[in-house]
Amino acid sequence: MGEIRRHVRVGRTTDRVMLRLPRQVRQSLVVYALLSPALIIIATFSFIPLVWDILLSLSSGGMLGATKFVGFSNFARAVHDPLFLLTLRNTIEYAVLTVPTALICGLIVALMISQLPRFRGFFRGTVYFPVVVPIVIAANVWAYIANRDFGPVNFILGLAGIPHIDWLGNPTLAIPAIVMEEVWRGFGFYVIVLSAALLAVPREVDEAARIDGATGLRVAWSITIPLLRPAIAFCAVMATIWNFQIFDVVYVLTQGGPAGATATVSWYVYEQAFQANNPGIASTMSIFLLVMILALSLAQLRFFRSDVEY
Amino acid sequence: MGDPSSRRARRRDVLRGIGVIGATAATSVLIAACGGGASTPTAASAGTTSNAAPAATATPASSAASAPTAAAAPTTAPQPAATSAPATGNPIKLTYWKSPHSATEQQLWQPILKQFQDKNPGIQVVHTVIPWGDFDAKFTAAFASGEPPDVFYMPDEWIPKYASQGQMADLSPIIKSEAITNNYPAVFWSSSTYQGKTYGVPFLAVVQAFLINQSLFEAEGVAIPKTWDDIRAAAKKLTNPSKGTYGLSMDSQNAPPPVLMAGGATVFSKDLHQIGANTPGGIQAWTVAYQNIGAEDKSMVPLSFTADQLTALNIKGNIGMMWQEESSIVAEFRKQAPNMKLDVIPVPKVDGTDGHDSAWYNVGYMCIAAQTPHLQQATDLLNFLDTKAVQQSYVITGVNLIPAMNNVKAPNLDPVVAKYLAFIPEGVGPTASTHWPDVKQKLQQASQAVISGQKTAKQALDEFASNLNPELDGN
Repeated sequence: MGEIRRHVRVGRTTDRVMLRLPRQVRQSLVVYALLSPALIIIATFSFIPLVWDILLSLSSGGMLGATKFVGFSNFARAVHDPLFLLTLRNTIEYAVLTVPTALICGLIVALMISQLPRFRGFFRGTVYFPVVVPIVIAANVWAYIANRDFGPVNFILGLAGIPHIDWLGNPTLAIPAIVMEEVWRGFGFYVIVLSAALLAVPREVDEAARIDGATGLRVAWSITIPLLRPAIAFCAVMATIWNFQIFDVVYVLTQGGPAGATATVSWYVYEQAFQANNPGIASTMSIFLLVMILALSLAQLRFFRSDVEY
Repeated sequence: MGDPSSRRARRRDVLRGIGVIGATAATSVLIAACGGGASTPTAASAGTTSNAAPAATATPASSAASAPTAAAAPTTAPQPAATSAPATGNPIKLTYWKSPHSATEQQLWQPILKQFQDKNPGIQVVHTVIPWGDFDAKFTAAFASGEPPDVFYMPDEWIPKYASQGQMADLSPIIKSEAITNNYPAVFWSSSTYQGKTYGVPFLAVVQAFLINQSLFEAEGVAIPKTWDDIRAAAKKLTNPSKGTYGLSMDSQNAPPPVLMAGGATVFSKDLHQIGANTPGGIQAWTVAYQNIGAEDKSMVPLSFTADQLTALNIKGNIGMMWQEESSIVAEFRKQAPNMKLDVIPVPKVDGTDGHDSAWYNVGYMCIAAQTPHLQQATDLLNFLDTKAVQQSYVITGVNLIPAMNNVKAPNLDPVVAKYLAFIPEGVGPTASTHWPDVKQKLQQASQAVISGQKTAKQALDEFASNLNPELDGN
């Protein structure tokens, strides 16, 4: 306190500032000290690796041994790499198909469950179950479901006279097949979030609308869904972030095939970093992905801005 | 009641104390995590992988090094003075890492390493089983930390990665004698020779080729094929999706190179600066194998079938010609399908090209770390591991794989496995290039593009070459 006083001009107002300042500083120190474990963890496992990733993207060399600063040549190389451009296209296609599908399915199921008189918890648990199934198991189960010759999907289609489809072996259909698997596996999460948000919707508004003659669909469209906007915003942002990073199901199910049709940016980053021993290129591609996800997330937050509170 | 200001003061003191304790604890945890003693060898569980698993999945089997007598210690960049066991009493600890080829890996090595230690009382060998799934992570971390294993087993495909970064000892001086190199098939040295230096001595090998389900052939009245035309006709005859039978399964990362070889082409040019696959012979080979049988006839197992599904079909006898490794004969087929009659054929030469019959092999090597502080002792262990006795006791008796050394044969060798061995001299393995893993992955994608009908063989191989040529730098 004495040291602080020497650096502050003496005066009535500033006296009051001096008296307050040390306590504020002390309180701030306590706050930061209490936050320090979390801040250290975030710095160590998020911020520092991010900085390291950016530095790696500006260098070449393997995981071991010396690296060489190469400036932006990795970025130039990435934008001219046909496989990277293919993975970008695949990732965008996959996310554009999965995000709205999963959200709409989740919303519809959440609305349906909320209308049930009983056993809502049971149904919520049922739709959430695929979310907790390990990806390796889910992917292998899906590989059987979608199998061209003995999978139940083609069996049902066959009953309608549709010839067997090689879902995961056809380059055009492989991404839609993975989209189906990921929607099946992930929409339960959005059901839970939206169900929780539905509980907060005032029943009086719903009842007032029905008294005025609104049908169930009208109530859902004009009242319930607008009131769910913050929860939908949260689900949209999280779905975008997760689905742009898809890696595990591709790694387990298709290894990027057939013929690169399901290769995503995350998968290619893994291949370049750990198979091809090109951490510089891998970091570069991960920066591209980061920028893309950041831009999309900011755009979504802006779109939902006025109503988002979390 | 107490003075409120004194209560606030006590509360401030408590909060300050909590903050200090929290910050101290967090800092201590960080220091403990970042500091680190030498990673002690983890006695990894004696692998979960089966005998036959490695080559078919993540890593090919590797073979052992051998060097009957080490006249001189292998030279590496740093040249520590050869250390002998201290006169007093503390033995020199050598760390030896190997990934499992058996569920009882640790038990198999115990008597072998004990024998070495009995002959070298000043040396203690600490053996660690490294799970295949952790292979790259463990070795990268070990090399990066400056505490790699002294002696280790490494599959062929990984050697350029670590050799190019100066992590492996150059063993050229100890294997320069023909008496040593002639102990092994000449082709086995290529994958461990990177930029003119040899970094590993062969230990064991696996071979892949077309395993014929002779029972299915006989049931359908089809003769065992000898040429690509025979294969195409047989595949067509045997494929019946409604019955769940298929003529040919060949989608694999390891099939495309020997198919190219059958057309006289190689994946890389000799100087490793270019892709060598898109020659007329290579294109023709892919046309007959992938385009005709896969895309046009659709006589191949669909690309979407997973490895588990393929294995189930193989064992049930639903596939006529299966791309299989020899280790699966005894480990899987003889046990789970004992009544299935089997035969094996190589990848046949493509008519009208200067190719030859081919197959795929992987070799695993015994290597020494460049950073080892006990170079002489590590060499002694390497020499010991590369003897006929160890080949017999571990490779043949223990894990039933192909010993790398010549003239070391298993008694009562399965006749089908014996046929596989004959394919080795004209077989093809990984190229000793740092670009190999990336090239192999993209070659498989290119073959899938042909099988699925997206591209012709020429389009796929030309595109493959034009995409990769700018990346190749001869390393």
